[in-house]
Amino acid sequence: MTMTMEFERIRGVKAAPLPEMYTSGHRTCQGCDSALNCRYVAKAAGPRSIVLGATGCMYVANTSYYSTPWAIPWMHTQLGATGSAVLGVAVSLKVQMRKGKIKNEPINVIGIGGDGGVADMGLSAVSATLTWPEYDSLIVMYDNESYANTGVQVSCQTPYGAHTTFSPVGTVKPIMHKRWKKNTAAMMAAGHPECRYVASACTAYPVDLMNKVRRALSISGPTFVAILCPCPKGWDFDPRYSHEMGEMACKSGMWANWEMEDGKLTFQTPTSGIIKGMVQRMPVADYLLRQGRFDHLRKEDFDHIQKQLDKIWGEWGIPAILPFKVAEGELA
Amino acid sequence: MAVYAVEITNRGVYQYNLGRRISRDVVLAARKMGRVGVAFGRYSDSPERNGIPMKWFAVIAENNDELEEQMAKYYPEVVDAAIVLDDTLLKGVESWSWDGLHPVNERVKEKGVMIVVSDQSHDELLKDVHTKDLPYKLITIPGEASFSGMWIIRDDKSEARIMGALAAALPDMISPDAVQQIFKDKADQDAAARAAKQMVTRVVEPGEGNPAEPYRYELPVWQDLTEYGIAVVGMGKGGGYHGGKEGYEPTRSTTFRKHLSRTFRPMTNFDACTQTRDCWLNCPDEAYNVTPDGFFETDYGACSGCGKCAEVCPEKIIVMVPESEFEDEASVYEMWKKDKAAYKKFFDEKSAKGWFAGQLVGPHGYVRKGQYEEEIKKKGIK
Repeated sequence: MTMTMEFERIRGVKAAPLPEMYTSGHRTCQGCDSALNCRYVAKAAGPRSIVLGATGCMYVANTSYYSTPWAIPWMHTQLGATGSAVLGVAVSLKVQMRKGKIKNEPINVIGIGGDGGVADMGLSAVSATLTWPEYDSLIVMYDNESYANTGVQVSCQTPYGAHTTFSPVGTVKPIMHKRWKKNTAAMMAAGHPECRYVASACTAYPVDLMNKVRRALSISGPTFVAILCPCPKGWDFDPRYSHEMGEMACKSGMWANWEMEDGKLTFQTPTSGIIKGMVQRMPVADYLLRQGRFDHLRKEDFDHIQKQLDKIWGEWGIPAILPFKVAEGELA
Repeated sequence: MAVYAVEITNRGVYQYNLGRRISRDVVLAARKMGRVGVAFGRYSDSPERNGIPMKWFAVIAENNDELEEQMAKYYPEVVDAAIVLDDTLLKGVESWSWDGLHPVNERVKEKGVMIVVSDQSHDELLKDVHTKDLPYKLITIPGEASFSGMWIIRDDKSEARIMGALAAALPDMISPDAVQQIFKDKADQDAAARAAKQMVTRVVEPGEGNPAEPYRYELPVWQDLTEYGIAVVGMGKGGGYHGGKEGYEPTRSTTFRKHLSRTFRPMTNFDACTQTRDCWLNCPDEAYNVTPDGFFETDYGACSGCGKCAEVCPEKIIVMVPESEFEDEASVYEMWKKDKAAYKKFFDEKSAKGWFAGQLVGPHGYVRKGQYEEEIKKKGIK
């Protein structure tokens, strides 16, 4: 029946399309990369798209008091319902096209949820959507590493040691959040055999991000893209550095840029350089020391995080993605 | 292709089980004739309330494909037979979660039947039943309405009698034989056969009945919700620079401008600009217009002054100048375009008070560990 949209690959900043499908009118913070992420996703997807947004910053800040930045249709969904809403809209479009009630043409269905809406509360619905190969949809997670909208509470995407409302810093116990960040994109890629495309990107690399969104939309069936969006409010840094912060997250190995298409895994800048050993990972302390949320960390804490990262990049079955490998002697 | 639909209207809870059993009996009888069917209640009646009218449906088709096509509807639009289990329901149905008053015969199709359990005469009944544009048959089965409760059934053979009458009225849909087969009890079989003889039929001509207009109200559609801000008109898709054909200018919000977030504003040194586009692409507030000659003009109405453009510019030619230096939001691009020498003077004057990329005099907060202590020490605050 319907086919997915064909897109031209964006080659460089100068080839980025001009039209804004997500424009001004959003009440986000200065330097908000989550809003920038919405702009990139909408820009890459183009005018024939429908966006479903879970509760979160990108719902509240985008729809307050008669304002909207969206030039394409957008609808709010419940915090845990990103996956269900996306699937429902994709099914509905397919049925209406089959019955001839609407024109048979490719329409992008995109669900945008935060780390709370996708990796925490909405996980089951997103996971369920990724098991329906006959409906074309894209779920985008903008990962700002906390429930930033409600006042920066811990989510399962919050990195080890971060200061949040739920992990206040004390003098005796400076670190109250001791869980390691969940690797949601890798979980989606590993756990959904019929999901043909999963990618991980960062707003500091906009061309890569937009190409990943386009690739995801042009592939049939459900797709998933996780995007790291530095949050000046929750991470506590000067908003002018949100681009640099994203770059440092990738260069230090706290985030990895990769894509999995039909079972083939590839890495993108700057992760590809790290994987190939052409670039050294920058010391993670350089990244952490630039953020107020890690201001309380001591020397031994930086060492601990660095050690964990060295393990993730040096010992994992697939660096930064798969923590295990087959034990020696198990395979013939 | 033969598709049949039956609707059963009953009093909520008192006749809940009777209505449900009849709808299932219709399907069972159809299966005896080699057809398929499905019996279901109206979703919006659930949960049922004592006394409040409610409905059950049975849909019958020749094969599964036909049945599935019918099931795509919320419930049948027209029915071959409407069964009314209590004659007081003839005044109309006002469901607890439905709009206005709906006549009991609303969905009966042309030459369809309406079966009512009642001791009243047809003329008495037609005083209540709303008029219809199509002719249909009104059938009465003498007897009182059978009321029971949520759990215990009153076994007064109403179920069998209605099934018997339905088969007699529409033998193509379910045959009397099939009805005899679904009842195992001899008393039920007799009651069904007896009802076929007891029932009284009369054709109701168009216009016959209660002429009163059933009350309705206008349901809001989604466009009406714009009034309450639940649905908001989307933004425009933008166009050429200042309405022209070249360049690009996104649509700006008329309800929220964001410019009051600003403590510093960016100023571009257009003379040194190499048009790398990074300021435009990295702006989280879509504040940059693309001019026809390929420059990037800040819209000071949309700019929140985060300073990202100054940081990402590879040429480091964007300066963040304190907002207090400016009186208005006039475009500096236009100033530059008009008089480049005057703009250079203006830019040098303003940029002396601002900061370029990489200068660690941050206006908005945390830059690195120990920064605040250093600043306080430097200023000599104790």
